[in-house]
Amino acid sequence: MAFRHFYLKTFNKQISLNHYIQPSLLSTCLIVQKRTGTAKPKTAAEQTLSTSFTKNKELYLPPPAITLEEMLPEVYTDENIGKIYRFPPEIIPKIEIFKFPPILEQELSPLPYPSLAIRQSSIQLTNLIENASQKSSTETRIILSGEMGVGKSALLLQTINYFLCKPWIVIYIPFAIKFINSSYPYIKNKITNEFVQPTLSAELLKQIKAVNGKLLQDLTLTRDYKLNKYTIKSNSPVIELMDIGIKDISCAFQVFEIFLDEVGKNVNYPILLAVDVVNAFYTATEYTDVDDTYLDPDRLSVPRTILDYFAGKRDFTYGAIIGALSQCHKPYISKPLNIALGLLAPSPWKQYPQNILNYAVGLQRFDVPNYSQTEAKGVLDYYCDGSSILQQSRDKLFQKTFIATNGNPRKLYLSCWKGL
Amino acid sequence: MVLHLLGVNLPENKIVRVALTYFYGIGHKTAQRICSKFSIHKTCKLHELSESQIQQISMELSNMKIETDLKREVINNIMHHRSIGTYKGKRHAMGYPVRGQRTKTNARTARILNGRWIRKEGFGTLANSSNNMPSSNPTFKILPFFIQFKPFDRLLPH
Repeated sequence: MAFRHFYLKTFNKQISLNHYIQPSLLSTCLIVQKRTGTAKPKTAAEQTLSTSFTKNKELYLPPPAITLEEMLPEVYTDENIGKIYRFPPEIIPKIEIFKFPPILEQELSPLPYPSLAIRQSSIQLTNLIENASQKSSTETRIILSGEMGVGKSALLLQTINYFLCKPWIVIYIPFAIKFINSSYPYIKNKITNEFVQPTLSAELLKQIKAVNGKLLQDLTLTRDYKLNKYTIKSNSPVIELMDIGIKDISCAFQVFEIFLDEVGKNVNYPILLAVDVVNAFYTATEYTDVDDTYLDPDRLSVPRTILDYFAGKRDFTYGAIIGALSQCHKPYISKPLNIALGLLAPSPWKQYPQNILNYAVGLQRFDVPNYSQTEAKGVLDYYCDGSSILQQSRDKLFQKTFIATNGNPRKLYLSCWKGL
Repeated sequence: MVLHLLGVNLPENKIVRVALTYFYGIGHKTAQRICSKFSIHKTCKLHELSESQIQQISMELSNMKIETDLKREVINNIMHHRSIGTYKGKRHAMGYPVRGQRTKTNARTARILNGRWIRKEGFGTLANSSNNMPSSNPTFKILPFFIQFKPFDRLLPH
Protein backbone atom coordinates (compact mmCIF):
# COMPACT_ATOMS: atom_id res chain seq x y z
CA MET A 1 0.00 0.00 0.00
CA ALA A 2 2.80 2.39 0.92
CA PHE A 3 4.56 1.55 -2.37
CA ARG A 4 1.45 2.35 -4.39
CA HIS A 5 0.86 5.53 -2.43
CA PHE A 6 4.42 6.68 -3.06
CA TYR A 7 4.11 6.28 -6.83
CA LEU A 8 0.69 7.89 -7.02
CA LYS A 9 2.06 10.90 -5.13
CA THR A 10 4.93 11.42 -7.52
CA PHE A 11 2.82 11.43 -10.70
CA ASN A 12 3.42 14.45 -12.87
CA LYS A 13 0.28 16.53 -13.03
CA GLN A 14 0.37 16.68 -16.81
CA ILE A 15 0.23 12.90 -17.24
CA SER A 16 -3.10 11.24 -16.55
CA LEU A 17 -3.99 7.57 -16.49
CA ASN A 18 -6.39 6.35 -19.11
CA HIS A 19 -7.11 3.20 -17.17
CA TYR A 20 -6.30 2.18 -13.64
CA ILE A 21 -2.99 0.31 -13.79
CA GLN A 22 -2.03 -2.14 -11.06
CA PRO A 23 1.00 -1.25 -8.95
CA SER A 24 3.10 -4.11 -10.32
CA LEU A 25 2.86 -2.46 -13.72
CA LEU A 26 3.95 0.93 -12.48
CA SER A 27 7.65 0.15 -12.52
CA THR A 28 7.92 0.01 -16.29
CA CYS A 29 4.48 0.94 -17.45
CA LEU A 30 3.91 3.27 -20.34
CA ILE A 31 1.49 6.05 -19.69
CA VAL A 32 0.07 7.53 -22.83
CA GLN A 33 -0.73 11.18 -22.26
CA LYS A 34 -4.46 11.69 -22.72
CA ARG A 35 -5.30 14.30 -25.33
CA THR A 36 -7.80 16.53 -23.53
CA GLY A 37 -8.97 20.00 -24.41
CA THR A 38 -7.51 21.53 -21.23
CA ALA A 39 -3.86 21.48 -22.19
CA LYS A 40 -1.65 23.14 -19.61
CA PRO A 41 1.24 25.18 -20.96
CA LYS A 42 4.67 23.58 -20.63
CA THR A 43 7.28 25.25 -18.49
CA ALA A 44 10.36 26.69 -20.17
CA ALA A 45 12.48 23.75 -19.02
CA GLU A 46 10.14 21.21 -20.56
CA GLN A 47 9.85 23.13 -23.78
CA THR A 48 13.56 22.90 -24.49
CA LEU A 49 13.50 19.11 -24.21
CA SER A 50 11.32 17.92 -27.04
CA THR A 51 11.60 14.34 -25.81
CA SER A 52 10.75 13.23 -22.35
CA PHE A 53 13.41 10.59 -22.03
CA THR A 54 14.78 12.27 -18.93
CA LYS A 55 11.37 12.16 -17.24
CA ASN A 56 11.54 8.40 -17.21
CA LYS A 57 14.45 8.31 -14.76
CA GLU A 58 12.84 10.64 -12.24
CA LEU A 59 9.50 8.91 -11.94
CA TYR A 60 9.99 5.23 -12.64
CA LEU A 61 12.31 2.43 -11.72
CA PRO A 62 14.85 1.80 -14.45
CA PRO A 63 13.88 -1.12 -16.68
CA PRO A 64 16.19 -4.09 -17.13
CA ALA A 65 19.22 -2.98 -19.10
CA ILE A 66 19.21 -4.00 -22.75
CA THR A 67 22.07 -3.16 -25.03
CA LEU A 68 20.90 -2.00 -28.42
CA GLU A 69 23.06 -1.31 -31.42
CA GLU A 70 22.96 2.00 -33.19
CA MET A 71 20.74 2.47 -36.24
CA LEU A 72 23.44 3.31 -38.74
CA PRO A 73 23.00 3.04 -42.53
CA GLU A 74 24.85 -0.31 -42.65
CA VAL A 75 22.15 -1.86 -40.53
CA TYR A 76 19.39 -1.36 -43.11
CA THR A 77 19.62 -4.84 -44.66
CA ASP A 78 17.26 -7.78 -45.16
CA GLU A 79 18.96 -9.84 -42.45
CA ASN A 80 18.11 -7.27 -39.78
CA ILE A 81 14.37 -7.16 -40.38
CA GLY A 82 12.59 -7.33 -37.02
CA LYS A 83 15.61 -6.27 -34.98
CA ILE A 84 15.45 -3.18 -32.81
CA TYR A 85 18.07 -0.47 -33.07
CA ARG A 86 18.40 2.77 -31.22
CA PHE A 87 19.01 6.17 -32.72
CA PRO A 88 22.71 7.08 -32.65
CA PRO A 89 23.55 9.54 -29.88
CA GLU A 90 24.94 12.04 -32.43
CA ILE A 91 21.68 12.06 -34.38
CA ILE A 92 19.23 12.48 -31.46
CA PRO A 93 20.16 16.14 -30.79
CA LYS A 94 19.72 16.89 -34.51
CA ILE A 95 16.24 15.42 -34.56
CA GLU A 96 15.47 17.23 -31.30
CA ILE A 97 16.24 20.54 -33.01
CA PHE A 98 13.53 19.76 -35.57
CA LYS A 99 11.53 18.12 -32.73
CA PHE A 100 10.06 14.64 -32.78
CA PRO A 101 6.50 14.27 -34.11
CA PRO A 102 4.24 14.71 -31.06
CA ILE A 103 2.33 11.41 -30.99
CA LEU A 104 5.43 9.35 -31.73
CA GLU A 105 7.29 11.24 -29.02
CA GLN A 106 4.75 10.15 -26.43
CA GLU A 107 5.03 6.55 -27.57
CA LEU A 108 8.82 6.57 -27.51
CA SER A 109 9.19 8.47 -24.26
CA PRO A 110 8.92 5.69 -21.68
CA LEU A 111 11.49 3.51 -23.45
CA PRO A 112 15.09 3.77 -22.19
CA TYR A 113 16.36 4.93 -25.58
CA PRO A 114 14.37 6.11 -28.58
CA SER A 115 14.49 3.01 -30.72
CA LEU A 116 12.67 1.56 -33.70
CA ALA A 117 12.56 -1.77 -35.51
CA ILE A 118 13.98 -2.22 -39.00
CA ARG A 119 11.16 -3.22 -41.33
CA GLN A 120 10.88 -4.32 -44.93
CA SER A 121 9.35 -0.95 -45.82
CA SER A 122 12.25 0.97 -44.24
CA ILE A 123 14.71 -0.86 -46.47
CA GLN A 124 12.53 -0.34 -49.56
CA LEU A 125 12.08 3.38 -48.89
CA THR A 126 15.75 4.06 -48.20
CA ASN A 127 16.71 2.19 -51.40
CA LEU A 128 14.21 4.22 -53.41
CA ILE A 129 15.69 7.47 -52.15
CA GLU A 130 19.30 6.30 -52.50
CA ASN A 131 18.59 5.67 -56.18
CA ALA A 132 17.28 9.22 -56.40
CA SER A 133 20.47 10.75 -55.07
CA GLN A 134 21.67 11.51 -58.59
CA LYS A 135 18.30 12.53 -59.98
CA SER A 136 16.17 15.64 -59.83
CA SER A 137 13.67 15.82 -56.98
CA THR A 138 10.72 16.00 -59.40
CA GLU A 139 11.26 12.30 -60.14
CA THR A 140 11.07 11.22 -56.49
CA ARG A 141 8.05 12.72 -54.78
CA ILE A 142 6.75 10.08 -52.40
CA ILE A 143 3.78 10.15 -50.04
CA LEU A 144 3.57 7.52 -47.29
CA SER A 145 0.04 6.24 -46.82
CA GLY A 146 -1.62 3.53 -44.77
CA GLU A 147 -4.12 2.98 -42.01
CA MET A 148 -3.87 4.66 -38.63
CA GLY A 149 -1.02 3.47 -36.45
CA VAL A 150 0.76 1.55 -39.19
CA GLY A 151 4.10 3.36 -38.74
CA LYS A 152 4.29 6.16 -41.32
CA SER A 153 5.83 8.78 -39.00
CA ALA A 154 8.21 6.17 -37.59
CA LEU A 155 9.26 5.19 -41.10
CA LEU A 156 9.88 8.81 -41.99
CA LEU A 157 11.98 9.20 -38.85
CA GLN A 158 14.06 6.15 -39.80
CA THR A 159 14.77 7.55 -43.27
CA ILE A 160 15.75 10.88 -41.76
CA ASN A 161 18.12 9.09 -39.43
CA TYR A 162 19.61 7.19 -42.39
CA PHE A 163 20.24 10.33 -44.44
CA LEU A 164 21.48 12.41 -41.53
CA CYS A 165 24.26 9.84 -41.15
CA LYS A 166 25.11 10.34 -44.82
CA PRO A 167 26.21 13.61 -46.40
CA TRP A 168 22.73 14.71 -47.36
CA ILE A 169 21.11 18.04 -46.44
CA VAL A 170 17.94 17.19 -44.52
CA ILE A 171 14.96 19.51 -44.03
CA TYR A 172 12.41 17.88 -41.71
CA ILE A 173 9.02 19.25 -40.74
CA PRO A 174 7.62 16.96 -38.01
CA PHE A 175 4.22 18.60 -37.64
CA ALA A 176 2.94 20.52 -40.66
CA ILE A 177 -0.26 21.53 -38.87
CA LYS A 178 1.53 24.23 -36.89
CA PHE A 179 2.25 26.03 -40.18
CA ILE A 180 -1.44 26.48 -40.94
CA ASN A 181 -3.24 26.55 -37.60
CA SER A 182 -2.83 30.27 -37.03
CA SER A 183 -0.17 29.97 -34.34
CA TYR A 184 2.43 32.17 -36.07
CA PRO A 185 2.11 35.84 -37.05
CA TYR A 186 1.31 36.61 -40.67
CA ILE A 187 1.53 39.78 -42.73
CA LYS A 188 -0.03 40.57 -46.07
CA ASN A 189 2.28 41.30 -48.96
CA LYS A 190 0.24 43.80 -51.00
CA ILE A 191 2.28 43.30 -54.16
CA THR A 192 1.87 39.55 -54.47
CA ASN A 193 -1.43 39.30 -52.52
CA GLU A 194 0.19 36.56 -50.45
CA PHE A 195 0.60 36.30 -46.71
CA VAL A 196 4.13 36.01 -45.34
CA GLN A 197 5.00 34.22 -42.08
CA PRO A 198 8.23 35.90 -40.96
CA THR A 199 8.81 34.27 -37.55
CA LEU A 200 8.11 30.82 -38.96
CA SER A 201 10.60 31.31 -41.80
CA ALA A 202 13.24 32.53 -39.36
CA GLU A 203 12.63 29.52 -37.11
CA LEU A 204 12.96 27.11 -40.04
CA LEU A 205 16.20 28.76 -41.16
CA LYS A 206 17.59 28.48 -37.64
CA GLN A 207 16.72 24.78 -37.42
CA ILE A 208 18.16 23.97 -40.86
CA LYS A 209 21.36 25.85 -40.06
CA ALA A 210 21.77 24.09 -36.71
CA VAL A 211 21.34 20.62 -38.18
CA ASN A 212 23.12 20.96 -41.54
CA GLY A 213 25.68 23.61 -40.59
CA LYS A 214 28.74 21.52 -41.42
CA LEU A 215 27.59 20.71 -44.94
CA LEU A 216 26.30 24.21 -45.63
CA GLN A 217 29.67 25.76 -44.83
CA ASP A 218 31.01 24.40 -48.12
CA LEU A 219 28.28 25.97 -50.23
CA THR A 220 28.42 29.45 -51.73
CA LEU A 221 25.97 31.69 -53.55
CA THR A 222 25.94 31.81 -57.33
CA ARG A 223 24.92 35.46 -57.70
CA ASP A 224 24.36 38.74 -55.83
CA TYR A 225 21.16 39.28 -53.90
CA LYS A 226 19.52 42.46 -52.62
CA LEU A 227 17.47 42.14 -49.48
CA ASN A 228 15.74 44.90 -47.48
CA LYS A 229 18.74 46.57 -45.97
CA TYR A 230 21.51 44.17 -46.96
CA THR A 231 23.17 43.18 -50.18
CA ILE A 232 25.01 39.90 -50.32
CA LYS A 233 27.50 39.16 -53.06
CA SER A 234 28.06 35.99 -55.00
CA ASN A 235 30.57 33.46 -53.69
CA SER A 236 29.81 34.39 -50.10
CA PRO A 237 28.88 31.39 -47.93
CA VAL A 238 25.24 30.35 -47.72
CA ILE A 239 25.47 30.46 -43.94
CA GLU A 240 26.01 34.22 -44.07
CA LEU A 241 22.74 34.53 -45.98
CA MET A 242 20.95 32.43 -43.37
CA ASP A 243 22.34 34.58 -40.56
CA ILE A 244 20.81 37.64 -42.19
CA GLY A 245 17.43 35.90 -42.35
CA ILE A 246 17.62 34.80 -38.73
CA LYS A 247 18.58 38.23 -37.42
CA ASP A 248 16.23 40.34 -39.54
CA ILE A 249 12.78 38.80 -39.47
CA SER A 250 11.36 41.19 -42.08
CA CYS A 251 13.39 39.53 -44.84
CA ALA A 252 13.36 36.01 -43.37
CA PHE A 253 10.98 34.54 -45.94
CA GLN A 254 12.89 36.09 -48.84
CA VAL A 255 16.07 34.54 -47.45
CA PHE A 256 14.33 31.17 -47.07
CA GLU A 257 13.30 31.15 -50.74
CA ILE A 258 16.75 32.22 -51.90
CA PHE A 259 18.32 29.58 -49.65
CA LEU A 260 16.18 26.78 -51.12
CA ASP A 261 17.00 28.00 -54.64
CA GLU A 262 20.74 28.18 -54.05
CA VAL A 263 21.05 24.98 -52.08
CA GLY A 264 18.87 23.22 -54.63
CA LYS A 265 21.38 24.09 -57.38
CA ASN A 266 24.31 22.44 -55.61
CA VAL A 267 25.66 19.17 -56.93
CA ASN A 268 27.76 18.03 -53.94
CA TYR A 269 25.06 17.20 -51.41
CA PRO A 270 21.59 15.88 -52.31
CA ILE A 271 18.66 17.36 -50.40
CA LEU A 272 15.88 15.52 -48.59
CA LEU A 273 12.70 17.45 -47.79
CA ALA A 274 10.50 15.43 -45.41
CA VAL A 275 7.13 16.58 -44.14
CA ASP A 276 4.99 14.70 -41.63
CA VAL A 277 1.19 15.26 -41.63
CA VAL A 278 1.56 16.56 -45.19
CA ASN A 279 -2.22 16.42 -45.67
CA ALA A 280 -2.39 19.62 -43.60
CA PHE A 281 -0.87 21.50 -46.55
CA TYR A 282 -3.74 20.35 -48.75
CA THR A 283 -6.59 21.64 -46.55
CA ALA A 284 -7.93 25.11 -45.86
CA THR A 285 -5.86 26.94 -43.27
CA GLU A 286 -7.11 28.60 -40.10
CA TYR A 287 -5.69 31.93 -41.12
CA THR A 288 -8.21 34.50 -42.34
CA ASP A 289 -8.03 36.98 -45.15
CA VAL A 290 -8.77 40.68 -44.70
CA ASP A 291 -12.46 40.00 -45.45
CA ASP A 292 -12.67 37.22 -42.82
CA THR A 293 -12.66 34.25 -45.22
CA TYR A 294 -10.37 31.27 -44.59
CA LEU A 295 -7.17 31.22 -46.62
CA ASP A 296 -6.13 28.35 -48.85
CA PRO A 297 -2.60 27.03 -48.25
CA ASP A 298 -1.34 28.46 -51.54
CA ARG A 299 -2.01 31.98 -50.23
CA LEU A 300 0.46 31.48 -47.38
CA SER A 301 4.11 31.86 -48.24
CA VAL A 302 5.85 28.97 -46.48
CA PRO A 303 3.24 26.27 -47.25
CA ARG A 304 3.10 27.46 -50.87
CA THR A 305 6.88 27.17 -51.25
CA ILE A 306 6.86 23.63 -49.90
CA LEU A 307 3.85 22.70 -52.05
CA ASP A 308 5.75 23.94 -55.12
CA TYR A 309 8.39 21.29 -54.43
CA PHE A 310 5.77 18.60 -53.89
CA ALA A 311 4.03 19.54 -57.12
CA GLY A 312 7.27 19.56 -59.10
CA LYS A 313 7.02 23.26 -59.98
CA ARG A 314 10.39 23.76 -58.31
CA ASP A 315 13.05 21.18 -57.82
CA PHE A 316 16.38 20.32 -56.31
CA THR A 317 19.04 19.27 -58.78
CA TYR A 318 19.74 16.19 -56.69
CA GLY A 319 17.33 15.14 -54.00
CA ALA A 320 14.02 13.67 -52.97
CA ILE A 321 10.81 14.82 -51.35
CA ILE A 322 8.76 12.68 -48.96
CA GLY A 323 5.54 13.36 -47.15
CA ALA A 324 3.65 11.22 -44.66
CA LEU A 325 -0.12 11.32 -44.31
CA SER A 326 -1.71 11.27 -40.89
CA GLN A 327 -5.23 10.22 -40.01
CA CYS A 328 -4.90 11.13 -36.34
CA HIS A 329 -5.93 14.75 -36.85
CA LYS A 330 -9.36 14.52 -38.43
CA PRO A 331 -9.97 18.17 -39.41
CA TYR A 332 -6.82 18.09 -41.54
CA ILE A 333 -7.59 15.02 -43.64
CA SER A 334 -7.50 16.23 -47.24
CA LYS A 335 -10.03 14.81 -49.69
CA PRO A 336 -8.35 16.33 -52.79
CA LEU A 337 -5.03 14.72 -51.82
CA ASN A 338 -6.67 11.34 -51.15
CA ILE A 339 -8.37 11.51 -54.55
CA ALA A 340 -5.09 12.40 -56.28
CA LEU A 341 -3.36 9.46 -54.58
CA GLY A 342 -6.19 7.07 -55.44
CA LEU A 343 -7.26 6.47 -51.85
CA LEU A 344 -10.71 7.93 -52.40
CA ALA A 345 -13.07 7.72 -55.34
CA PRO A 346 -14.16 11.21 -56.45
CA SER A 347 -17.87 11.85 -56.13
CA PRO A 348 -19.44 13.10 -59.39
CA TRP A 349 -21.77 15.34 -57.39
CA LYS A 350 -19.07 17.29 -55.59
CA GLN A 351 -16.62 19.87 -56.79
CA TYR A 352 -13.15 19.70 -55.32
CA PRO A 353 -10.93 22.79 -55.06
CA GLN A 354 -8.89 22.88 -58.27
CA ASN A 355 -6.08 24.99 -56.82
CA ILE A 356 -5.30 22.28 -54.26
CA LEU A 357 -5.63 19.45 -56.79
CA ASN A 358 -3.02 21.19 -58.96
CA TYR A 359 -0.44 20.69 -56.21
CA ALA A 360 -1.16 16.96 -55.92
CA VAL A 361 -0.17 15.99 -59.46
CA GLY A 362 2.50 13.39 -60.06
CA LEU A 363 2.85 12.15 -56.47
CA GLN A 364 4.03 8.59 -55.87
CA ARG A 365 2.15 6.60 -53.26
CA PHE A 366 4.07 4.30 -50.91
CA ASP A 367 1.79 2.05 -48.87
CA VAL A 368 3.09 1.10 -45.45
CA PRO A 369 1.82 -2.34 -44.40
CA ASN A 370 1.20 -3.77 -40.93
CA TYR A 371 3.93 -5.76 -39.17
CA SER A 372 4.86 -9.07 -40.71
CA GLN A 373 5.27 -12.05 -38.35
CA THR A 374 9.06 -11.68 -38.05
CA GLU A 375 8.82 -7.95 -37.40
CA ALA A 376 6.09 -8.40 -34.77
CA LYS A 377 8.08 -11.16 -33.04
CA GLY A 378 11.17 -8.97 -32.88
CA VAL A 379 9.23 -6.06 -31.45
CA LEU A 380 7.43 -8.22 -28.88
CA ASP A 381 10.73 -9.79 -27.80
CA TYR A 382 12.06 -6.29 -27.19
CA TYR A 383 9.03 -5.31 -25.12
CA CYS A 384 9.28 -8.51 -23.06
CA ASP A 385 13.02 -8.11 -22.50
CA GLY A 386 12.63 -4.49 -21.56
CA SER A 387 9.98 -4.94 -18.90
CA SER A 388 9.54 -6.83 -15.71
CA ILE A 389 5.79 -7.10 -16.14
CA LEU A 390 5.16 -9.14 -19.26
CA GLN A 391 5.48 -12.43 -17.46
CA GLN A 392 3.43 -14.52 -19.86
CA SER A 393 5.12 -16.92 -22.19
CA ARG A 394 6.16 -15.07 -25.30
CA ASP A 395 4.54 -17.43 -27.80
CA LYS A 396 1.15 -17.12 -26.16
CA LEU A 397 1.45 -13.36 -25.89
CA PHE A 398 2.55 -13.11 -29.51
CA GLN A 399 -0.34 -15.24 -30.78
CA LYS A 400 -2.90 -13.38 -28.68
CA THR A 401 -1.80 -9.88 -29.58
CA PHE A 402 -0.90 -10.51 -33.23
CA ILE A 403 -4.26 -12.09 -33.99
CA ALA A 404 -6.22 -9.45 -32.12
CA THR A 405 -4.41 -6.47 -33.63
CA ASN A 406 -3.66 -7.93 -37.08
CA GLY A 407 -0.10 -6.69 -36.73
CA ASN A 408 -0.98 -2.99 -36.48
CA PRO A 409 2.08 -1.47 -34.75
CA ARG A 410 0.30 1.04 -32.54
CA LYS A 411 -2.36 -1.45 -31.45
CA LEU A 412 0.31 -4.06 -30.73
CA TYR A 413 2.21 -1.55 -28.61
CA LEU A 414 -0.90 -0.55 -26.67
CA SER A 415 -2.07 -4.13 -26.24
CA CYS A 416 1.21 -5.06 -24.59
CA TRP A 417 1.26 -2.15 -22.19
CA LYS A 418 -2.42 -1.50 -21.58
CA GLY A 419 -3.93 -4.89 -22.28
CA LEU A 420 -6.31 -5.87 -25.04
CA MET B 1 0.14 44.36 -16.91
CA VAL B 2 -2.90 46.10 -18.30
CA LEU B 3 -3.46 47.87 -21.59
CA HIS B 4 -5.76 50.91 -21.52
CA LEU B 5 -7.76 51.31 -24.67
CA LEU B 6 -10.73 53.66 -25.17
CA GLY B 7 -11.66 53.69 -21.49
CA VAL B 8 -11.43 49.92 -20.96
CA ASN B 9 -8.63 48.07 -19.19
CA LEU B 10 -7.53 44.99 -21.14
CA PRO B 11 -5.26 42.43 -19.43
CA GLU B 12 -2.15 41.95 -21.57
CA ASN B 13 -1.94 38.20 -21.17
CA LYS B 14 -5.19 37.66 -23.01
CA ILE B 15 -5.50 36.62 -26.64
CA VAL B 16 -6.45 39.66 -28.76
CA ARG B 17 -9.60 38.04 -30.10
CA VAL B 18 -10.86 37.43 -26.57
CA ALA B 19 -9.67 40.73 -25.10
CA LEU B 20 -11.66 42.73 -27.69
CA THR B 21 -14.89 41.14 -26.40
CA TYR B 22 -14.36 43.01 -23.13
CA PHE B 23 -15.81 46.07 -24.92
CA TYR B 24 -19.56 46.59 -24.61
CA GLY B 25 -20.86 46.10 -28.14
CA ILE B 26 -18.17 43.70 -29.37
CA GLY B 27 -18.75 39.95 -29.33
CA HIS B 28 -16.78 37.07 -30.77
CA LYS B 29 -17.81 37.67 -34.39
CA THR B 30 -16.83 41.33 -34.54
CA ALA B 31 -13.64 40.62 -32.60
CA GLN B 32 -12.68 37.98 -35.19
CA ARG B 33 -13.50 40.41 -38.02
CA ILE B 34 -11.31 43.11 -36.50
CA CYS B 35 -8.41 40.66 -36.07
CA SER B 36 -8.72 39.42 -39.68
CA LYS B 37 -8.75 43.02 -40.97
CA PHE B 38 -5.37 43.69 -39.40
CA SER B 39 -3.95 40.18 -40.02
CA ILE B 40 -3.66 39.24 -36.36
CA HIS B 41 -3.34 35.48 -35.96
CA LYS B 42 -5.62 33.55 -33.61
CA THR B 43 -3.09 32.87 -30.87
CA CYS B 44 -1.69 36.41 -30.72
CA LYS B 45 -1.63 37.93 -27.23
CA LEU B 46 -2.01 41.64 -26.50
CA HIS B 47 1.60 42.09 -25.39
CA GLU B 48 2.80 40.79 -28.80
CA LEU B 49 1.08 43.61 -30.70
CA SER B 50 3.15 46.49 -32.02
CA GLU B 51 2.28 50.14 -31.30
CA SER B 52 1.09 50.69 -34.88
CA GLN B 53 -1.25 47.68 -34.68
CA ILE B 54 -2.73 48.92 -31.38
CA GLN B 55 -3.30 52.34 -32.96
CA GLN B 56 -4.97 50.76 -35.98
CA ILE B 57 -7.28 48.76 -33.69
CA SER B 58 -8.21 51.82 -31.61
CA MET B 59 -8.93 53.81 -34.81
CA GLU B 60 -11.21 51.01 -35.97
CA LEU B 61 -12.94 50.81 -32.58
CA SER B 62 -13.51 54.56 -32.42
CA ASN B 63 -15.30 54.35 -35.77
CA MET B 64 -17.63 51.66 -34.42
CA LYS B 65 -20.56 52.24 -32.07
CA ILE B 66 -19.48 50.73 -28.73
CA GLU B 67 -19.59 51.44 -25.00
CA THR B 68 -21.45 54.63 -24.01
CA ASP B 69 -22.62 55.49 -27.56
CA LEU B 70 -24.30 52.12 -27.89
CA LYS B 71 -25.85 52.28 -24.41
CA ARG B 72 -27.23 55.73 -25.21
CA GLU B 73 -28.75 54.45 -28.45
CA VAL B 74 -30.49 51.60 -26.63
CA ILE B 75 -31.90 53.97 -24.01
CA ASN B 76 -33.04 56.42 -26.68
CA ASN B 77 -34.87 53.67 -28.54
CA ILE B 78 -36.82 52.77 -25.42
CA MET B 79 -37.52 56.43 -24.62
CA HIS B 80 -38.76 56.95 -28.17
CA HIS B 81 -41.39 54.25 -27.70
CA ARG B 82 -42.49 55.81 -24.44
CA SER B 83 -42.61 59.31 -25.83
CA ILE B 84 -44.85 58.43 -28.78
CA GLY B 85 -47.11 56.35 -26.53
CA THR B 86 -46.79 52.90 -28.10
CA TYR B 87 -47.79 49.63 -26.45
CA LYS B 88 -44.08 48.71 -26.15
CA GLY B 89 -43.39 51.95 -24.33
CA LYS B 90 -46.16 51.30 -21.85
CA ARG B 91 -44.87 47.81 -21.12
CA HIS B 92 -41.36 49.16 -20.55
CA ALA B 93 -42.74 51.77 -18.22
CA MET B 94 -44.76 49.25 -16.22
CA GLY B 95 -41.83 46.91 -15.94
CA TYR B 96 -43.63 44.06 -17.74
CA PRO B 97 -42.48 41.77 -20.60
CA VAL B 98 -42.59 43.56 -23.93
CA ARG B 99 -42.51 40.74 -26.45
CA GLY B 100 -45.76 38.99 -25.64
CA GLN B 101 -44.54 36.61 -22.89
CA ARG B 102 -46.85 35.41 -20.14
CA THR B 103 -47.30 37.46 -16.96
CA LYS B 104 -49.44 35.02 -14.95
CA THR B 105 -46.18 33.41 -13.87
CA ASN B 106 -42.54 33.92 -14.76
CA ALA B 107 -41.90 37.52 -15.68
CA ARG B 108 -39.08 37.98 -13.24
CA THR B 109 -36.40 39.33 -15.57
CA ALA B 110 -38.81 41.85 -17.07
CA ARG B 111 -39.83 43.12 -13.67
CA ILE B 112 -36.23 43.78 -12.74
CA LEU B 113 -34.80 45.02 -16.00
CA ASN B 114 -37.59 46.63 -18.02
CA GLY B 115 -38.22 50.31 -17.60
CA ARG B 116 -35.18 51.04 -15.43
CA TRP B 117 -34.14 53.88 -17.74
CA ILE B 118 -37.62 55.34 -17.64
CA ARG B 119 -37.73 55.23 -13.84
CA LYS B 120 -34.28 56.79 -13.69
CA GLU B 121 -35.07 59.69 -15.99
CA GLY B 122 -38.55 60.28 -14.57
CA PHE B 123 -40.00 60.23 -18.08
CA GLY B 124 -43.58 60.74 -19.24
CA THR B 125 -45.69 60.43 -22.41
CA LEU B 126 -46.22 63.09 -25.08
CA ALA B 127 -49.56 63.88 -23.54
CA ASN B 128 -48.01 64.91 -20.25
CA SER B 129 -44.94 66.82 -21.36
CA SER B 130 -44.47 69.58 -23.87
CA ASN B 131 -40.84 68.68 -24.36
CA ASN B 132 -39.82 64.98 -24.61
CA MET B 133 -36.18 65.11 -23.50
CA PRO B 134 -35.86 64.86 -19.71
CA SER B 135 -32.59 66.80 -19.69
CA SER B 136 -34.33 69.88 -21.13
CA ASN B 137 -36.82 69.92 -18.25
CA PRO B 138 -35.02 68.76 -15.13
CA THR B 139 -37.78 69.79 -12.71
CA PHE B 140 -40.43 67.63 -14.43
CA LYS B 141 -41.65 65.14 -11.84
CA ILE B 142 -45.30 64.36 -12.62
CA LEU B 143 -45.50 60.68 -13.55
CA PRO B 144 -48.38 59.39 -15.68
CA PHE B 145 -50.98 57.10 -14.18
CA PHE B 146 -49.67 53.87 -15.79
CA ILE B 147 -46.25 54.19 -14.22
CA GLN B 148 -47.79 54.61 -10.77
CA PHE B 149 -50.12 51.66 -11.14
CA LYS B 150 -47.97 48.68 -10.22
CA PRO B 151 -49.78 45.78 -8.60
CA PHE B 152 -46.53 43.94 -7.77
CA ASP B 153 -44.60 46.96 -6.69
CA ARG B 154 -43.76 45.58 -3.25
CA LEU B 155 -42.07 42.58 -4.85
CA LEU B 156 -39.72 44.72 -6.94
CA PRO B 157 -36.24 45.17 -5.52
CA HIS B 158 -35.49 48.86 -4.98
